[in-house]
Amino acid sequence: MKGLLAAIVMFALAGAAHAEPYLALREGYKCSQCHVNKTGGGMRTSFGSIYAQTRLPSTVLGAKDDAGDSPTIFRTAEAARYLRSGPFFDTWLADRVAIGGDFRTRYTQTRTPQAKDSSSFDVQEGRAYLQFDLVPDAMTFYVDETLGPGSAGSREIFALFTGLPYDGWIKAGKFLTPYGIRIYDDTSFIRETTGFNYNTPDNGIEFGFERGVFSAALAIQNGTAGGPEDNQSKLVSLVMTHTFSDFRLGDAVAYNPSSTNRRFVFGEFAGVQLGRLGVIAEADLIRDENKDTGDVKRQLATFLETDLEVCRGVNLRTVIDFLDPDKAIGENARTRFSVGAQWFVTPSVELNLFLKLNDSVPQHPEEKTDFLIGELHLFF
Amino acid sequence: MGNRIRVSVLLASLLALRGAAFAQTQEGETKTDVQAELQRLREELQKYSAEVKQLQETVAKSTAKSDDVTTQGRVIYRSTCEACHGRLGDGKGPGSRPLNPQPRDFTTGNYKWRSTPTGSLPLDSDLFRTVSEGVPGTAMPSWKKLLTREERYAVVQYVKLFSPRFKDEPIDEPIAIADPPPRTPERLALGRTAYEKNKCGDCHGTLGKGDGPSAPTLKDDKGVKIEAFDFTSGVFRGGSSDADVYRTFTTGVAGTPMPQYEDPLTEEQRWALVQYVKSLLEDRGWFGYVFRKPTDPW
Ligand code: HEC
Ligand code: HEC
Repeated sequence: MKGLLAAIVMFALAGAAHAEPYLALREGYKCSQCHVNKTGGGMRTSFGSIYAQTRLPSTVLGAKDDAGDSPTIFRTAEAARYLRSGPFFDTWLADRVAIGGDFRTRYTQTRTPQAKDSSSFDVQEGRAYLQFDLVPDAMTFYVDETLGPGSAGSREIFALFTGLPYDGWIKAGKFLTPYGIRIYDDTSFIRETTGFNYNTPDNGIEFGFERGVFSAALAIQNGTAGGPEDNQSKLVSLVMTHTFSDFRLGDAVAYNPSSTNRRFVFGEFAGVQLGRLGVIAEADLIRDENKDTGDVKRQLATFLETDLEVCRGVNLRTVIDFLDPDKAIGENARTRFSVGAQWFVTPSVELNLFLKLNDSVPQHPEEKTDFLIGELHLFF
Repeated sequence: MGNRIRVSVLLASLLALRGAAFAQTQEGETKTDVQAELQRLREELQKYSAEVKQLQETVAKSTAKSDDVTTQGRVIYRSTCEACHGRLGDGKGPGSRPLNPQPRDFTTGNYKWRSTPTGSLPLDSDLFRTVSEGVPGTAMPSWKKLLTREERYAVVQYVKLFSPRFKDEPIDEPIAIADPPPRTPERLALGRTAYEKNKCGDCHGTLGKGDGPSAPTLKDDKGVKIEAFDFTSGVFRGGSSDADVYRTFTTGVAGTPMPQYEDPLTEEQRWALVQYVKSLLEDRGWFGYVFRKPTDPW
């Protein structure tokens, strides 16, 4: 019982935010517009970094804008290369080497019906990115390194070949499985139950292309993330998206056989932007077939997020998560309701405040746990 | 217990929303204070040309050579402009693809927002103003908080290098802009007549919503579809003060189907038109606040 509670807490805490599809929806961009990893998440491109510094924040703390009497200094050519007096942060160390990072630390308050309230401070993630453009517009070496908490290691590390016909790309190495919307929260049922989330990168190869409003990515990976794997069969996943300026629609499928189980996942997702208001939805069907007994289990997970840009830099969000962990059993569905606010205070600084309210079924009263989370996010 | 939290959270978010909407209308109301606005406009108009003049003098006096300034400009350009405007200044940067309007192609020397007459190159202060304020409602950011004045001046000097025209062509004198006249009902009525007579509504729509009969057919010089500007948003791309709007439509929006109206209209008619198109601003309350694309400034 206590263990289960701990597991739930761990899950909730593991839900570090990484990508923000609501921003892509707001602007009508594909993930590749702002992320080096074409299918989203992780390091920002130069466009993404500029966007994050100019469009997102409420203001720039320490900007010396109208200081009309500040001394006017023009640097010599040599000095200009190294000295920068404005607050803009340049992620390019050299012509073809860029860096990036994410740091999150949290305060969490937990409330369960059976236990006393508890609270804790945690470092959520410390992460550094490196991008080497070995051949401009053709070959990139990408590293997404987890620095902490816990042991260090590469979350993603791959070679990316771009500039192929139809704006195609090939990715080879260790990377996140392309499936569904890569939302910020790994604990959402659509990411947790499908098994395709930030905690489950896998080794393999990915092919993708973008053509006008259409983009697609097909990956073949070991499939170890989704369960036991004997290296005899592979995980195949495909995601296809139509991206319009205020609307997007996508389909995702994945097939992952192992020696004992055959897993088939199918999902649809969509987004609509109306002025300041954005709505993102995804629904996934997960079908597991036991190869020996022939037993089939079906799960349904859905996700509905609304985002309201209240004013420059401030976003209000509500999320409704739903999970039916076995369609054959009635009355076992779970819902989770979250509300929160995100505030991009100044470039590279985001403050998040979230309240997550979990429902429970009578069999698992311990799941009825509510979290209040305050988070500081530094990024560049 | 759970329900109580739920209800309070809901109420809190509604309150926050209401507060934000209220703050917006408050701001809108104080802005219409005519005297204060006139004063602000005069100052704003002079600010950028004064700043640029000062910067030019500093360069002349300092030990930095003009090469140094453009080199500094290039360093800034690479990290802050290239993603959209491209390394070659052709508007085809890696992030330019989904943008509409497309980033400016600097190689042509054509600029939309100038104080100089149609066909002429812009002044340094025009470019400096655009770089500082950005182009609201488009991807072009405002750089006044992220780059210092020197950095913005340097990057403008660098941007000019992309077009040989800046080396060879003389720049025409800027048009004269008098003090904006006060708002009167007569002037508004005159503006309305001029709007109808000059068929502004063909493109911009009778009510200024950018939905005139010709609107769907409009293309810019590069053959890219362009929207006729929607006046009801109240946020103008070339600046929203009376003087800005006067300047924008008197000198013309180069490279777009927006006609240039310097000659056929009297000065009085032009100020009247400015006041009229600005009066088309529509406060749609809650609905407009939520469902209109935001152009919140810094
Ligand atoms: C995020 C993309 C983006 C970035 C970054 C960007 N621009 Fe722009 N820029 C645009 C777009 C889009 C336009 C066209 C706006 C229009 O035509 O309505 C534009 C237009 C311009 C114009 C033309 C104004 C006119 O009068 O025609 C200038 C000058 C300019 N940008 C300078 C810069 C400079 C200097 C930088 C770097 C400090 C920069 N831009 C960075 C997107 C960008
Ligand atoms: C042929 C179609 C057409 C007609 C006729 C026309 N416009 Fe425009 N106008 C445009 C387009 C297109 C733009 C947008 C340019 C841009 O944003 O790049 C524009 C932009 C403008 C702007 C600039 C807004 C800003 O963002 O700063 C003003 C002001 C304006 N028009 C006023 C007028 C007035 C007043 C008339 C009538 C006297 C008129 N227009 C007639 C097509 C037209």
